[in-house]
Amino acid sequence: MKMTNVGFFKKYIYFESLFALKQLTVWLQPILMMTLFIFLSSLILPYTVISEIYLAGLIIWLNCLCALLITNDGLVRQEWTEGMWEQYALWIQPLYVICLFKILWLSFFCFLVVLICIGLALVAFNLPYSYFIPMALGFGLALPVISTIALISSLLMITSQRGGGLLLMLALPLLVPVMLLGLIILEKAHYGEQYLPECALLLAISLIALLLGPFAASGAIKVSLSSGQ
Amino acid sequence: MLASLLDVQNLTFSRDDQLIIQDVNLKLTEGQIIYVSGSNGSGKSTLLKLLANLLNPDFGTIQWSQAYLYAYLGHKISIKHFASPLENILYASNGYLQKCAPVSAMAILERLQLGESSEALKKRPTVSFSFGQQRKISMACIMASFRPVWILDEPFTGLDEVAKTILNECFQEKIKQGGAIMMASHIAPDKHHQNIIL
Repeated sequence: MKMTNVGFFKKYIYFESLFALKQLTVWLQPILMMTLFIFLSSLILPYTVISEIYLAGLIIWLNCLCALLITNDGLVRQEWTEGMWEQYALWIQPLYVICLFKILWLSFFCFLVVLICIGLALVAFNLPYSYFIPMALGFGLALPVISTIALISSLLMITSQRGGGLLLMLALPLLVPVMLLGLIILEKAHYGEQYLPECALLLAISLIALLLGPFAASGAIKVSLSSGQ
Repeated sequence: MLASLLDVQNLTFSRDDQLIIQDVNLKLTEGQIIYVSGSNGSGKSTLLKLLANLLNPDFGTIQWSQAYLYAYLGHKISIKHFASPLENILYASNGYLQKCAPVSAMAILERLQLGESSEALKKRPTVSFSFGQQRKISMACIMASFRPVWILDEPFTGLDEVAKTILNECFQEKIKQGGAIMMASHIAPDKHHQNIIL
């Protein structure tokens, strides 16, 4: 018996959430990595450096970006070795729709991870908790872009055995503008200024990424599939 | 007269300037099994990937009589390792836009005789099953797609003799129901089936 498109998406979201809960270690990995790195930074760096909100924000953003890129890469690679991307290419829903859902799903779960990481970082750096909201907002608005870039770059490098390091080198520079906007939001919140324009800009970039990213990701899948591995 | 499902004309494919498939012509009709055989590296898997639209041919046409006719199982297991066999089947059938009740999914798994309790089939992650069992689970996912044509790349790999017999029975049932199968296999086909040697 055939099911409707709405039925498909309802079940798809249900299964993806179920599978995400079943692989908790994948999500714990970036949290552990972040925790280690942030606590080490708080021990190594002098207090005068991390008390500078811009520098503390930079450390947190860089750590979060690295952790998210590595997590996303791990998830994409796992699905590749399982042969699931091949199956997605044969599903009735177009590949770019599946990619869009993957990006949204990755963004949502990464956001939960990031919230924990920000909380830990604020504790480690002894920063005021009032920074939590602007930092979470910055990440929340930037995550669709981060997930899109991570997905596309992982898919393009999936056929190379040691893609992890290369991925960071390729994807991190692309995420610098997003990170700068996130830092400006944090800085403005620190000085009690209005940061709505930066949020709007991040939202606009994310919407563009959500609009174009799935097509690029589905193209990347086709390229990787045709490379014959 | 049996309806034609697939018509392939002058199919040619090359990779890195090396010709892998040259001028392949074939027709697949309802109730037919086509075996693709040949030595390692002769292009069996490539041909099946071309038919499944996972690769683009350099030349020639692949004409399916309608869209979404086939399900494909390649060399990879094509199942989620941390999900249970039952969840994998329900996930796959959802992808093929089919409503598959858990009871039907369990029936498919029992048909393939995984030799595990129904509790294990519902709850244990597939990664904890043996390779042969995982192949059976991925075959069950293909069966739950309810698509008329199955494109299978060496479906008997990792299976014992009993499992091979069961799978062959499933293939016979499939073609009796008007379906068709195209597979790469080292098992010699019987004389009633078409064989393409690459």
